[in-house]
Amino acid sequence: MELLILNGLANGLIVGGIYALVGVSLTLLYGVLRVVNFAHGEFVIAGSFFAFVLFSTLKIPPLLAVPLAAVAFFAAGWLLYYVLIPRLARSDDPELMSFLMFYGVSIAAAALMLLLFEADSRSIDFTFTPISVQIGPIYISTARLVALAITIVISIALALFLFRTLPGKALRAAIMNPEAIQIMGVDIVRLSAFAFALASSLAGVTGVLVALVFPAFNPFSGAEYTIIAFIVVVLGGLGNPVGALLAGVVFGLAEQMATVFLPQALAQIVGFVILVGTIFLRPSGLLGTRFRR
Amino acid sequence: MTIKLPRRTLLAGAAGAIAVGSAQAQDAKPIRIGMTVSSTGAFALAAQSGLRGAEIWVDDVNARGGITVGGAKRKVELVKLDDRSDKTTVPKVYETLIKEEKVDLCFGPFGSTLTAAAVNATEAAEKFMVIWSASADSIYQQGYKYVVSATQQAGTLLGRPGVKAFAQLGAKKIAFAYLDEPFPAALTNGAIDEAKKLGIEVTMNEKFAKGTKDFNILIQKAKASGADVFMPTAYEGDQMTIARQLREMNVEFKAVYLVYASQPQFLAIGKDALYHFSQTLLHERINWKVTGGLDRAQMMERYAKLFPNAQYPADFQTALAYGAGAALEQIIVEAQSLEAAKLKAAALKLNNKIVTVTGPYEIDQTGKQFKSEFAVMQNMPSGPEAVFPPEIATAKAVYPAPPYKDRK
Repeated sequence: MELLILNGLANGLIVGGIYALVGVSLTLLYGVLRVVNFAHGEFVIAGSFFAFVLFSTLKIPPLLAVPLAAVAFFAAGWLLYYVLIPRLARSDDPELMSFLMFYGVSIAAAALMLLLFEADSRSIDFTFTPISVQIGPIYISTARLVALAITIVISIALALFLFRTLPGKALRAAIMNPEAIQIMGVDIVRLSAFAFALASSLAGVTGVLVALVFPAFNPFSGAEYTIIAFIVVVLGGLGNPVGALLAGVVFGLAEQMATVFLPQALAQIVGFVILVGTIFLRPSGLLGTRFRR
Repeated sequence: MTIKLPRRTLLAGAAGAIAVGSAQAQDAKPIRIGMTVSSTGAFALAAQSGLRGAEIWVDDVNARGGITVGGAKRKVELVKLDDRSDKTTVPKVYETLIKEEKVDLCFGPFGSTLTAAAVNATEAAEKFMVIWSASADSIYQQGYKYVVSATQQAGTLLGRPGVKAFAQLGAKKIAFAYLDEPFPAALTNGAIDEAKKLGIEVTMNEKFAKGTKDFNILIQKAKASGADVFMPTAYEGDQMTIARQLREMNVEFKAVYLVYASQPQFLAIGKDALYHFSQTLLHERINWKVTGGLDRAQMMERYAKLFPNAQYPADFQTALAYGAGAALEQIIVEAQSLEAAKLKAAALKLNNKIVTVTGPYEIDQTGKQFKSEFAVMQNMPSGPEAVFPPEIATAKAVYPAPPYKDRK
């Protein structure tokens, strides 16, 4: 049992790190733009396919695919912002319209990936050497450790960006009070485009890490990540990037430890129990209120 | 001498002639067979693989001029609609096939989940349904009158060859895990019964939900249970993840049985696939003497000709669907009708008289298939080899599988 618990804790941290990244990009979007990106999971899986294509056609390893995905998805996100978002801004209920529009985008994105990659599950036939590292009595895959390291670096970089740089502070200010920031002369459109591009970039990078940690993915895997993202966002507090990072880890640990003590089939329910429990008991999320004030 | 017929007789004769003529014209109409195919969703790959098998059969039948029913050769037309792998969509689509497309009979969709949802529509409309991939026993326990599983063996029988093979290899303990869906559940329950019958201890039996992404703890639980053999049953994606995570965690069993491990897309995962056991109906050494249609080699040849751009070669889903078509042809010829009741009676009458690419055929009143047993495969460095039953084995099973560090 000790071995199972240790495995649960180690995997919970790693998987939780991935969940944190999945959630943080969604919460950034919601926080700044009030956009409910229902296609977020598809963005993540597009990142996995990006790494797959780079590896299978150009033999570019997933580690190198991380910065490439960050740049490519940032550019794609910037472009997509100007195609999609300005129309939403003219709507009477932008949040609802964004939900509906991105639901359509999620279907279109999954269909496009289906067209390009067909329906079967894909896997990147790449492993690190050694494939796993023994830490005490447990083996942890090198890919997972690499993913954890990248997650930590990205989280620290994101925190520094949000709290120490002017654009980061502007983003936080936009989350807290979008009207006031415009009065201060900040170009909210450009800032929003940046937030959208940053969120897309994070989703792309997360997709590469997903391909490392959960080796099989297909064009329809996106919906599962969208659900995870929503759980993390609600748990962390709507629009709170730091809360999302914490919530991802909490959710990952809860899910993994549930598989240790409960039948595996019940583990998924844990996520929904957390979601419903948070809404009932602490609707502002783990850090929601504190961040906003 | 001329015979004068009364005017009324002449009119009746003319009307009769028109009726006969029109009946003959109707006979010459193609036999319309309705089928849903998943263009998207979890079942898309397998459904499309099966569709290619059905299309090979249609192409072959039509090249031979069609099926003789009531003295007239009738070609076959496959009417395909999309079910999006969605069990809530399937019944409506089959209703559309029956009511709007006016199909004469139906081919099942892929898998137990969709077939269980579709069969209510075909039964309500009294249409015959040929099942090619639904194995869940529960489907055949509902009292449906017009279903026949032509090639797909019942789910509770599917896992038995693997367990028999492990018993022969000396396995004493097996850990089971399965995706909580009809096919994996039926296979696992049957395999557990077989294991108990053969005196193998079942050390774990745990199910997991659809969408599970991480199997680390499940694998550790199986290892901790002291099993020699680990038999987790799910669809390709989950099994690819399990194979990778087994290697990453350096968790070694004497054998791991992953039902789809010899499928081309599974083999694409490279070293992670090595030495895993699986099952198939399609292998170059499995050559049944068929009673109608194409044999395995001919089917493969036709596949290459009709689908030169298919991403993967034909697999056992292709064989199952092709075989179901070949069996259906013999059932129609026997019944000389497209009426569901007559087709079902003919299907029962042909027990042990049909052999397709997937093997012999035997059903019971419920339509459940008892033959068409799978061969057990093992992924060797040279590729998948048949290791059980001994009559068709192409290689000796490697048991216990070598440690991961020695797998080249």
